Amino acid sequence: MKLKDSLFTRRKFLNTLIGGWLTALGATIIQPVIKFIFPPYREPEEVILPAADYELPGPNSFKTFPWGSKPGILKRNDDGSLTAFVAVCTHLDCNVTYLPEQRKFYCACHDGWYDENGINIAGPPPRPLRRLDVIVEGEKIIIRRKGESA
Amino acid sequence: MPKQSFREWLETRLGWGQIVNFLQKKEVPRHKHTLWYYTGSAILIFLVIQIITGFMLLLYYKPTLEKAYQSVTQIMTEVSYGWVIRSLHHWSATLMIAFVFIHLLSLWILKAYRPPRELTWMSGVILLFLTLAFGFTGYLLPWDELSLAATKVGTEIPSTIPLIGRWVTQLLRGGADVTGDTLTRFFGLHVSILPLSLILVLGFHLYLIQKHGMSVPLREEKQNRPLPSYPFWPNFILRESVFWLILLGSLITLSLFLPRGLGQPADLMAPAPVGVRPEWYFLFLFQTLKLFPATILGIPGDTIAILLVMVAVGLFFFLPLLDTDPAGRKGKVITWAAVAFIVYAVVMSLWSVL
Amino acid sequence: MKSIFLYLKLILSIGLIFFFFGQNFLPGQPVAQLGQHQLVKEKSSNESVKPGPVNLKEKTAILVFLGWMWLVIAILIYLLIQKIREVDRLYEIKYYDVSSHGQEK
Repeated sequence: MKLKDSLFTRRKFLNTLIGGWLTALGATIIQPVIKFIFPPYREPEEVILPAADYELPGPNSFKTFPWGSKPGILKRNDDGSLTAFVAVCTHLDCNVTYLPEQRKFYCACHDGWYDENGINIAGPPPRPLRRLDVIVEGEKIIIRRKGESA
Repeated sequence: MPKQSFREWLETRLGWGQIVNFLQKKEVPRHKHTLWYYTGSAILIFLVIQIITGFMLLLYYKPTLEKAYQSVTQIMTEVSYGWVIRSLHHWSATLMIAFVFIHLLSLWILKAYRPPRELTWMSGVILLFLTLAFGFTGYLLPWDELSLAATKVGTEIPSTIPLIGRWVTQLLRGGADVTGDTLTRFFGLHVSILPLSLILVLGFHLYLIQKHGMSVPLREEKQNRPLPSYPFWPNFILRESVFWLILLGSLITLSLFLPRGLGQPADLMAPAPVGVRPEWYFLFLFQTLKLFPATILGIPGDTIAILLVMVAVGLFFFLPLLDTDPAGRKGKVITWAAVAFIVYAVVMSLWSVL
Repeated sequence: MKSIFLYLKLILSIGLIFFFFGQNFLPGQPVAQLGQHQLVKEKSSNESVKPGPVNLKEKTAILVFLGWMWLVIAILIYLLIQKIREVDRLYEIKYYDVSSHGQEK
């Protein structure tokens, strides 16, 4: 290529290179900074509840438990088995409650409804409630993330 | 084409060309000691790094008796790169204080405080003490054994000042003893009161430097010939940026190879751990206080020591007013006092370590 | 002519950004380290939380990171020195006095 004006060209060339390598240095350093800013997400692997506190005698009875920083709901089904849900609406993260008389989960924020199996049936929720695995082991009720029961 | 016009669009609105224009006209004199001009901006670079890493640590740090140690542990073990960021904050503080000392001592020896730059020097001394206060308050925040013990000693020292001493200690501690209240107090100082004060004084300091230009050493000034110089922008800034890059690289290397640790959690009831020592920049003072006998002529040795330190600080602050004849004999004595101080500080620091 | 450099700048910047974001040069701090910390917490040494890399992989990652960083710094310093030579020459030929301001970016 023909250089028309060496003074300006040389300057542009240098500025380009300096800009590029400064960007490289910046990218190298900013990466850990960005990673630092996002807090480590710690969802519990499992939660162990004392069975004595969660007897749930009748069918359709329920009790809440802490699932990390979110509430969970442990519910006795009609056949006597236990089901656990993360009691957080899939719409905009509000906490939901179970209404035993209506056999529905209700989210008061935007009038979202789920049936007793956690399936979204009315209102804005896009997905069913998240289900957790429940394992009863003698005096303990172990609640695990879905599909991670060993 | 669009790039050019965007630049022009901004220029008509911001008028930054004037600043560039001003900086191009600002001349930096060139002489043997030009190198010392770089120390000021080195401090600024570390200050910027301190502010950034400080904000980042604030995202996770909890300034209470129960949570402080735990949250620092969390930063160091759970948060991605947490130990790196904390280590950077520590090393950047260390290097910043080191450069503050180098900056002040070099200006002392070069006598840059000569009229009309007396206030530049005095504001610089205030900045030194603000920086040391940052170091002292920040040292307590991780709330481990050593930081608690060092803070107990450090806040006890003012109590030996006659009349107001007890009162100063209580003010610093937020009570009679170092407790969780002290921690909260130091946190407030470290993240709010000190930064605001620092920015105010620093603004004043930089304004004065802009107003009076760079000081030229006496020897060069006496030769009565125009010194060669170059514009601040871009010639001097480009030279400085080479230095900044080296400093940045060294800081990151130090932080990764010598990461800052965390001791046992502080226990208010436990006996002081072995080897309590302040940070290196307080070592010479620490050793000086140790050397004083319990009583001199019936007066407690501590009181005499602290009064002597206060007199020294006063002399240091008013140095430009004392050095009325920089070129003469008195000026030479004052220059040698700087050298004597450096020797004294180094010897005392080494003594307390060995 | 101008556009060539513009492209060069773009390719360099974007390429490098993707290169470093895509690759995890520095080790993340795995949550698994928590367990290790609890082991150290038993009063064994004066430092209860040991900072720094925990395994060989992280140690190498740090060395690679530092090597790369110093390489970039060395290249930048070389380029800056070239730039300094240029601006000094411009200053000597009194370029700034005659040209319009704001040219030098």
